[in-house]
Amino acid sequence: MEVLLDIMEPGKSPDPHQAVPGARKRVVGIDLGTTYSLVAAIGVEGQPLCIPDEDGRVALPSVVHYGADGRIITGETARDLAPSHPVETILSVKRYMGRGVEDIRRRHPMIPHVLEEGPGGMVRIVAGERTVSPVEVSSEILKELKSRAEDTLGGPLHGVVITVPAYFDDAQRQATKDAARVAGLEVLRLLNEPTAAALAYGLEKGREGMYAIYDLGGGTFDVSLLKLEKGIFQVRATGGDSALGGDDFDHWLMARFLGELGEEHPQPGLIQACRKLAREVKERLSDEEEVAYALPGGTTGRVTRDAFEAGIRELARKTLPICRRVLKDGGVGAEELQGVVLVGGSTRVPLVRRLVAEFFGREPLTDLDPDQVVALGAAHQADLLGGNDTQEMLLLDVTPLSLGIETMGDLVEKIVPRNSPIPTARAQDFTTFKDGQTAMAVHVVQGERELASQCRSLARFELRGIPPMAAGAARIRVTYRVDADGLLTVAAREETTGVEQSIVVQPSYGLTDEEIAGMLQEAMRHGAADMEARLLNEARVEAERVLAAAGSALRDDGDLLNENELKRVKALMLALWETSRGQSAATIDQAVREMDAGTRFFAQRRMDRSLQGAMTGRKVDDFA
Amino acid sequence: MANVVCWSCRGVTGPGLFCRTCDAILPVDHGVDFFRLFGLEVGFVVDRTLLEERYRELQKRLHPDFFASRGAMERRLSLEHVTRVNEALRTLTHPLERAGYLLRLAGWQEEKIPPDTAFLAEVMEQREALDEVDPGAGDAHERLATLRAEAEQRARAEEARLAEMFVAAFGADGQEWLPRIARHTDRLRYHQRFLEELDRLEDQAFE
Repeated sequence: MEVLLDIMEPGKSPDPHQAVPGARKRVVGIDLGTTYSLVAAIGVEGQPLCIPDEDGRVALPSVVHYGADGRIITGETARDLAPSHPVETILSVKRYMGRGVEDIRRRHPMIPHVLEEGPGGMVRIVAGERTVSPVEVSSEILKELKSRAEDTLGGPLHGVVITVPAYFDDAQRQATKDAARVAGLEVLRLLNEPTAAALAYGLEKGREGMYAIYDLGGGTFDVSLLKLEKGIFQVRATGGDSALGGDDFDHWLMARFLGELGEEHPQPGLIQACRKLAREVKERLSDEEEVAYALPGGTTGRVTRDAFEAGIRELARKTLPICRRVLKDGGVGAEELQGVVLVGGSTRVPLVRRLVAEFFGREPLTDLDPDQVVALGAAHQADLLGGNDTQEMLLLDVTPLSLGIETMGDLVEKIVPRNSPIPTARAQDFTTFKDGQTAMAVHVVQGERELASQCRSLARFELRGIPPMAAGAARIRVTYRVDADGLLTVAAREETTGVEQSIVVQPSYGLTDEEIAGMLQEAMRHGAADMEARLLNEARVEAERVLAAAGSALRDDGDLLNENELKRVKALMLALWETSRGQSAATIDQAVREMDAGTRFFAQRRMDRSLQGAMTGRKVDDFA
Repeated sequence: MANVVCWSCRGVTGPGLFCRTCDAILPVDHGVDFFRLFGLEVGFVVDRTLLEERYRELQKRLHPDFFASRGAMERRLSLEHVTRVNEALRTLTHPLERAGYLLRLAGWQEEKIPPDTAFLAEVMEQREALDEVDPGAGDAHERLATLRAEAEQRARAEEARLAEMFVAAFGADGQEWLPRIARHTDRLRYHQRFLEELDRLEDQAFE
């Protein structure tokens, strides 16, 4: 751990690799972003720096153009070609990494490209004359950054650290690694983006303690809570919203422009022009109080920052409940944070900064450029790994979403709550619902919603061979294990016989970060309706259970009742059955209570009988 | 604690995480309770700072990342250790889980203790106050904040009671305290559920 401490406090005890000039390996950090990509390295003074292109720009638009002449163009030039050559130009390829055709069609129905299914179910994109995989497209961006870095550093690279969203699954991570390999890069490690940002602050500024990383990009929002201490980066909680980002701010301006033009059904070309203008105006409003603009066709207008902020306030405020929940999940108050780190271009909007400052009760840290901080952190990590690869920065991660099991009536029983540190193992006992039940279905779901049908289904299997017993007598233990890589194993075991079934599930497989964040959002939005549905379901399940128990009690011990009593019990059962078909949980609960009160004498008699040893009293519990 | 034979070097080793001869990681000893695992005194009051410090120390020694290039046995043992360390952290962090764990350590068999009716009446009253809050209304934040402050105060008071009772329980005639502790643990559970309900309403009111 000594070397780690040295790195936390640079200068005190220099790493031998760094002490000798020229001995440092050429390693870089790459932020392979949806909209922009950057490359950074540790400079001569030990500070990480983003490497600019010939024109001094550090951000490379993540756009690749496949020319008819076979030429491949990346960056600014490719982006300029997008409107005139939509089919030959690929934007935001990061969204397709590690995804299948169906996946992409479902999620991005508007993309202009023809998609084909390639080997292994991964998507292929038809780009003009060529058919390319997302891995190849990404590798073109990486190649561009690689040559930029090699020109600047004066030789071939020894290795890279590439950043990925915290929610990226195995397939997406593998695709990213493959892209690096195609580009001729050796990946030292894939690093989670929020962790990279925390690393930049932690190492750069020697900071320790609890940090919130607020990352508002073009299309997504992410917030993570990390604790930095003595070489350990502990993720405490994460959360986010996919359908929220700077693009939504552009959208507000765009709608205003189209309104001013009086266009109710604008042509695609006009929409694109207004969108481009919206982004420019938005960016200028970060520095200017009022911006004048000219719309296509010559109409001019002005917009003040106040008007813009009033328009986007509700959108920007939507990030705050998510921050609040992440703090709550992490078990810390805003006042306990050492700092709030801003990441992503959309955090340049002054309103966003003010809201963040207000919410966390402190000025956010912006001494590192929010567009660059992820790449800078990656450069640090690359330097660490390249300089001395026996040294480890230990990262302790959590499960981003709750893992549960479907129970009767479409309900979800959460077994591993979201933001649980991994590896973890949690078990819960279940029992049979009906007399003589010999099998139990196990449906593994992921998400925060109350109903199984609204969560993401991960796996199903059946535990068979349960010996026939009375309802409630079997004891089935279901165990969820999540290992350090996030791999989930589910096992179900009937305890009296030892019958067991298990299955290995890839919890995040096929689930994008947007989806995960989107599911969290849905859960919040529908919390109230879910609760009602849940209560109603619970009440119905309870009614059904009580009715089944009463039925089998009557079958076994009906002789304990005289004719009148039998009639009364049956009347109560009928009343409960009818009520349970209604929509009111409270009324059903009431009927269950009435049934319970009205049959207590019967339960008592059955108990007495079983105590006398005339019969087993096993089902009494079920009934009383 | 009896000595055991190390699975790796076949030498005799004492209790602990690693073999004292060959330094191989040893199987998880479930006889070691969570408090001892973290080097903390058994009791209801836990020093959070110390708990987290010990957690990090254990992670630095046991985390699977450090065993990635080792044999299957060592990788498996590391995973089992850290899984248990995470379970221990969770149990010792949350007062309710901690109380339940301490009760089990003390030999309490989880019987249902009927709650006292006076307490149930209180709970009902609090529930009703909660039901009356409309998360969409203008005063929702204020009313929820008041309810939260009250509920948290009740939970803290219950925890303080539990702390006292656990001290007594670890003294003479400890077993006599267990039913009372169990009852107060149940009360803490009610407060906890109430706070969770409050969380949900706050999420809605905050939107």
